[in-house]
Amino acid sequence: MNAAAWAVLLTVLLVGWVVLDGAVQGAGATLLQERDPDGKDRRREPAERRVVLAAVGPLLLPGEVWLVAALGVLVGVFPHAEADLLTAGYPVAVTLIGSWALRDAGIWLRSRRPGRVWRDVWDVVLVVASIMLAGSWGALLGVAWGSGLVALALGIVAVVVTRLHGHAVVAWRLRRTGALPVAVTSVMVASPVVGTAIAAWPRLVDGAVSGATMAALGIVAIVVLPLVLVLQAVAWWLVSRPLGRRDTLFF
Amino acid sequence: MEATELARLQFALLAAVHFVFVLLTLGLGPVVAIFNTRWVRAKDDRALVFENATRFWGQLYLVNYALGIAAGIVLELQFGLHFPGLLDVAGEVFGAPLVVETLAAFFLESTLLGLWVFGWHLFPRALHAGIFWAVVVTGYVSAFAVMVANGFLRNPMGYVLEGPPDAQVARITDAGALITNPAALLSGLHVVGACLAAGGFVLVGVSAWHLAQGGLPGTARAGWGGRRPADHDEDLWRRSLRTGVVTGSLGVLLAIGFGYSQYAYILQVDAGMFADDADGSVMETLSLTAMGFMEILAYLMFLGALPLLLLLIGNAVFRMPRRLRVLVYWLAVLAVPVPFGVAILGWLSRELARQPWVIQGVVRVDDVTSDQSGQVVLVSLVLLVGLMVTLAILDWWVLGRLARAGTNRLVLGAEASDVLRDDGAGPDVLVRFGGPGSGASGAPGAVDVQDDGPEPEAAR
Repeated sequence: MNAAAWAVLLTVLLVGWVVLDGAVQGAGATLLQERDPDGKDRRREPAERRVVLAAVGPLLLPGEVWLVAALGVLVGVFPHAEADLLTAGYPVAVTLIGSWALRDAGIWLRSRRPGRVWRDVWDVVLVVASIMLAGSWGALLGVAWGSGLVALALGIVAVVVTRLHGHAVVAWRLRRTGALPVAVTSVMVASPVVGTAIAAWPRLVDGAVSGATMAALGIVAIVVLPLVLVLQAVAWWLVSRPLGRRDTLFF
Repeated sequence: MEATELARLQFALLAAVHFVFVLLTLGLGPVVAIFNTRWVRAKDDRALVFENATRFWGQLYLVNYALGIAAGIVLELQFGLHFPGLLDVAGEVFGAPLVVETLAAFFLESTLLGLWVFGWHLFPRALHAGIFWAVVVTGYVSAFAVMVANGFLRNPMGYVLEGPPDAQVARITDAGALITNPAALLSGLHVVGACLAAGGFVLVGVSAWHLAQGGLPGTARAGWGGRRPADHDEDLWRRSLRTGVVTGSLGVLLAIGFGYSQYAYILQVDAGMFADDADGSVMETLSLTAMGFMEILAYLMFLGALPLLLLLIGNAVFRMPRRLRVLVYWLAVLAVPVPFGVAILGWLSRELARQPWVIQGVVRVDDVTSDQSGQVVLVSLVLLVGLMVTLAILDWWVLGRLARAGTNRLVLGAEASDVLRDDGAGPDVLVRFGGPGSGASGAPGAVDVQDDGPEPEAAR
């Protein structure tokens, strides 16, 4: 695999992350509030929040690994791009990892204790951390464009589109709507990533490691990726089923 | 402190948090897989005991895993944030095993774990158990890939430096040497021992706590313990304790054995490395102190595990006079933190011995640190370390509460409607999940099923 192929793989991994984890971020951001069909905001009851988390729960583990894998590709194949991006966007990157850890802790821990206060506090943490995660991701994409204004704009765009995306996935799992809105919001969350990849392409590809290492790692990627995709397909099948009695409500 | 020292301290503290969670993930994984397999194979009423064992230990595994991932992600970004020079010089050699770790091992591990949790009621039982075995295997592959990356830093092999003297880049020349590096292979097996020991001590400690309580019929009686467990719960804790004693002893033996086998290459690598540097000699003293404490505590662990192993004969540990039994149980509870402390000491001893080098004898830490000012690094240190330590303490508190609750209200593998009823769900929500009183359910073809009896779980 050459640098261009690795850059395409990196983009695919990032798109996978925003589509899968974006649904979890969006559902997390809208955990406490729901908009009724007549346009009024309504606070969700504890059992309804549990249903929302059940709807996106199976996406968390198979979803966030896409960004971890993308970071692995950045470190291993494009080390210069990673170092440049994180040096320029230092505060944004620290916010991203902080809110990611907080969001994960919120999802994993909130349902582990029965107390009402325990869960309410974690739910607020989950809402704030989900919004911060989406926003800082968008802003980090903007840093790759090399402009503070783009960073701000993409941060806001990311917060808005992940909300829509999370709402669409939850509605689809409850079979209130079809799969079409999910497809539309998936394109919406993916487009900033694809746009940034195209804009940053020359700098990314020039900073790759040597051809021999890329070829050696390419063999690993080509052997493993089909297996990963099969398992991911099974995970998507779990999510594509209507939410029902055979689902596990772990989160 | 300067930016370099703060960056180094931040990495060390975050790595320590990550390491503690990884120990239990790798130590508890094989045990959960064994219980899951025995549940699948059980024909009689022992199936319920093994099902509960899978769900109870599996739940602890998951809550521990959650923070392990979060801490691992925070750690992965530290290289780019604070040590970009390391990637400039050795991105290729050091980065390659990390690509294998994330792209191959962790990607598979996490996806498989998601299937195990959320496919609980969907996959055939045998396939479900097989998925968890795959989680365990990929977890160990992932840990080994990290040991290859870390082993290269401790004992660089299979590479060559190319380019002008001021911008040298390391290239892989011999991938085999990189993988079979004793600093990866022997140290990896040493860490596997430490993981199994940690898993074993947790298994024994938690089971002993439950056996020491008066609530279990077979243990409440004064005098001698029963030959057979009085009920399913006591059976579960007895089996868990036995499993823990065996895996814990095996782990301590592996850790001590492969600990000594590392001396050959360590002495060779370190020959003449320390003396020329004041910072280095302080670090050497600290490293040797940590190693000394680690060895003393490891022998104490061995001395504690040996009598327990002997007491398994004829189930003596469960049948001794009550006062003696309870004393042994409480000692086992108090010993739970020991393997974690020992592992941290071992890790400190290894990493401190390398200072001031980031790649032993090749690149120094202060040559690769980013240009961030000391204040900026201090702010991120306080934020990230403060956050991770707070989350770690909360996670341990939750683990403690879950461990105390035992098999009462296990959420992992429970029926959806039972979980929602505990959350106060009304009939309008429960109808979707086939709860009692609803005529229909979400599953296709399940219309008109009358669900007013107990859930199938109890029937199994």
